[in-house]
Amino acid sequence: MSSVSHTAEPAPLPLVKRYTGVMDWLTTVDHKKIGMMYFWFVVVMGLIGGAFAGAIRFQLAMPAATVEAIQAAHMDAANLPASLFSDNRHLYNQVLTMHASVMIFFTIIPGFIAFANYIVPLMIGARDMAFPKMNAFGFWLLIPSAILMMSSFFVQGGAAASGWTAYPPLSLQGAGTDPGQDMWIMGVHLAGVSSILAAVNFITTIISLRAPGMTWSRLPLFAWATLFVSIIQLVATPVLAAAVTMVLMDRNFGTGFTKASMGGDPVLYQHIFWFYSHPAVYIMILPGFGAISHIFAAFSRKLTFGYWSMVWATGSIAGLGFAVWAHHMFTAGMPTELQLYFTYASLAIGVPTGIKVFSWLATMWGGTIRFTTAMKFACGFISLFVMGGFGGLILALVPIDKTLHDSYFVVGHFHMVLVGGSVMLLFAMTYYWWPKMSGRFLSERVGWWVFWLMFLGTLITFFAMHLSGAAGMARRVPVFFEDFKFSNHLTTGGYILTFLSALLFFIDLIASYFKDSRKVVGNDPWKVNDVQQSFEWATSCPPPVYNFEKVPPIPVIDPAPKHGSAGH
Amino acid sequence: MIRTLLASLIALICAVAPLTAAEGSPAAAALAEADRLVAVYNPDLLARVPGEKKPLTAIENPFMGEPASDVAAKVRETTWLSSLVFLPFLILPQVLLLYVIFKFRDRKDGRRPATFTGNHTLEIIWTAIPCVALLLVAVPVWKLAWWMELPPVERATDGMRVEVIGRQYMWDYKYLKLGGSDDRDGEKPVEVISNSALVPAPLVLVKDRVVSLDMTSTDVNHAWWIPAFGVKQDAMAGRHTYAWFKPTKTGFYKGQCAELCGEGHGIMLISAVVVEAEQFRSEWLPLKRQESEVNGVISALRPAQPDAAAVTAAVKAFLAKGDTPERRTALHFWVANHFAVAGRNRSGLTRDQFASHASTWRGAVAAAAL
Repeated sequence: MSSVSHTAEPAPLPLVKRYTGVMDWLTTVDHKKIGMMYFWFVVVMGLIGGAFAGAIRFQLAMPAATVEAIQAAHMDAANLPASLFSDNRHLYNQVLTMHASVMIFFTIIPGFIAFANYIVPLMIGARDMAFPKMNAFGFWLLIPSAILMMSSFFVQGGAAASGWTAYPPLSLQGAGTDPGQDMWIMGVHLAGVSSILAAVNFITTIISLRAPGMTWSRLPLFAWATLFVSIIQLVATPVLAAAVTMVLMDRNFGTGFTKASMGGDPVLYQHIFWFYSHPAVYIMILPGFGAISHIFAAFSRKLTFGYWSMVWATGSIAGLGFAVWAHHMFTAGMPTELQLYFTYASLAIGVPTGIKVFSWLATMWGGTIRFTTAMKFACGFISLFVMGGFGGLILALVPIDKTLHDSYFVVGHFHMVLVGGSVMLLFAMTYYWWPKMSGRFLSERVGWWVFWLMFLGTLITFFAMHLSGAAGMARRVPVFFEDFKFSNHLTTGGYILTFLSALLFFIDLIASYFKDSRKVVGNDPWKVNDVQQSFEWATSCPPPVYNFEKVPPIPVIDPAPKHGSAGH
Repeated sequence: MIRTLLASLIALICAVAPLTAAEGSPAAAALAEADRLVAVYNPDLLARVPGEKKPLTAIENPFMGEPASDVAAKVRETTWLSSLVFLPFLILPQVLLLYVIFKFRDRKDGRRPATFTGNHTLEIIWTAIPCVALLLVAVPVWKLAWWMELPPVERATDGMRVEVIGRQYMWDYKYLKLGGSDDRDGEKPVEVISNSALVPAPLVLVKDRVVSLDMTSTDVNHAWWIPAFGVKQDAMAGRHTYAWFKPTKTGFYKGQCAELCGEGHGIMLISAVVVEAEQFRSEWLPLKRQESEVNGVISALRPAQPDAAAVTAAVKAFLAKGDTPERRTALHFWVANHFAVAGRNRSGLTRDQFASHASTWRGAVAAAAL
């Protein structure tokens, strides 16, 4: 299927081109250009978020970052040894809040949207998204959202400093004088609207714009995952908007939703917030789960193992994701019956996740595996994600969580699944689809370094965080007890590796535009189309405006054949 | 541990605090006793012996060493058990992954890839086995969660009840019930009020006496967490949350606030001291019961250059209300405590200047008390 057979040459589409150059990008409604803008937005935001992480690691690597050093300085006239935030712990809280906000709202969530935007219409044989203008609007909302959040560093009182969770009453402090928290809330609202618009668009596109013959039982797994995630976004994001609006009202309009003194309840906010933010965890990983199935199949030269169980596993993770939110609040106080329910529900998510992991391994089993950089990242993802999942199983157990909650163990766990999971997935997807998106290859030689630095960096950084946390180090602290010094230095060392990896990747990404040797020839540079049940390799790299000159033929391979029958 | 502390303490005193009171005099003995008590009830005050790198106190790992509470012991047991059950799900995928990577690498030898796309038996196995593993863990977790909810019957008869109040950025404690036979009819609850985030006033607990903590906050959310006890609970305004445990080992324990509470979050320290019942009754309770009365002396000592006459008058006034060895010990303890908590750099003095300042005025108090 690598070349589309044309029975009759159709007349070329009359293309109306109004602008060129910058104006073209500013006014485009082409899903590929919008996807590309999402992608670069995410790269820039990822670097900014990574720099915030660097500031946090820098503080924690300094001699004055121990409680004992500060106590000694308190006792003695000896000067406090230098540290980045020793005079301004408020700024430290701003930086950690922004690190999380940038990484969640502007890097990982839009990161998957970037690929979904570019690839899903191609995969299903559509000429564009269902609502192209709304698609553009959704992207352009992210820009003011990011500007609002970033610029809040320069207002009175600085940026929001109550963590990305913005728990009241802390997030109510400074109301009326310090607008940072309000700007953060408005930023979340804009990012939320953007998310909802994208979700509506994806759902409509996948339901109604599939090419003839692209039946539900042939839908590519990345499109399935995007569909499930869009449903989560559509249902959950308004709930986040409700939660932060309560804080906004309490701050500015004298309401008392979360004020105990007015009969409100800070725990109410936590429940509503996590009702969004737990499903958001799956928004940040499920699209990658879908995409990685394509990568494993492509480079093992086999069809995905267990297509329908993959679809159902993704669906049940998406569904169960709505029923486990309170495991983020085990120490907030709730009846034991509820604690146990949330423990068991959280554990249950391990089952479909396990099905996916084993199915990926079975996809590779018996294949002829080519270890391209994309495939390396995919394998690295399995290794790290399983480790993150192990920590998650332990954290789900309520009695143990009473010790580990809000410790660095939690920080290690969710970074292991977000960096070891989502970020590794995003890298794999970039290496796999960049030739399609830009018509350029990324360097496989640089890719070797990018992968190994990222893999080892992630492993060291977040494994060491688990150690700090199990030994008793609390989260979101600018200083820690001297006993945690070793594991913290290890974390900082790991961070340096990941930072180098990101830097190399960024340079290579830019370089790919300028080297002629990187140009892609043909529609299917990876030679994988015979093991993919999708259309994206049936058009040029990058695809022309409106993607396909002619609606592609029905895929000749059945992704879910009866057992034993050959796939091709 | 206390012996080590004492040794370091004596080294500290010899090094930086030449006492004005003569060696072997009753005044010197009183000061030494006060220092010993400070080392037991607030060793953080002596965070570092000059010239020595290691801090005096270490934070105990909740998963290693001798458990410090019954809750920590049970939590640790369940952690190891569930880790053991879950371990195959951590190891197996890694092993399979490595096997697949080496075995099925494309060696360009013309091998054709396999064509299977599903296997019902396999899929049923890898759905069912994790379910069984989860059930294996579910039972002990069920038992432990209920055990942690309902403390043993001692709580009602013999236990201690403490209200824990978080505020930016300190912890206060109010002993609603002391437990044992330490409660006195009609007495106001004993209170522990902190006045420094960095050098928190410790919660003093009794070994083998169940303590239930009623937590609340006067401002934002905080979380009380001493890792060694295996207990963490949020303290929130307008709510009372609850936790209990039974300390099983004497010593000094510390932790950090575990819920982001503002700029002082990282230095909002928590400390607890576990002592024997006898020590609690005859040593710490008398100290606490005299604390408010020593306040007159403390406020006379507060200025950067205290007025000698005022200090003497305050000491005399304190002793005039009752002159017992207990009251004298309390006097010296709280004065020593004051100088340590106040911090040396507060007064803008160098370390040596502050040491001589503190020893001068502690000596002055001792002299006035003679």
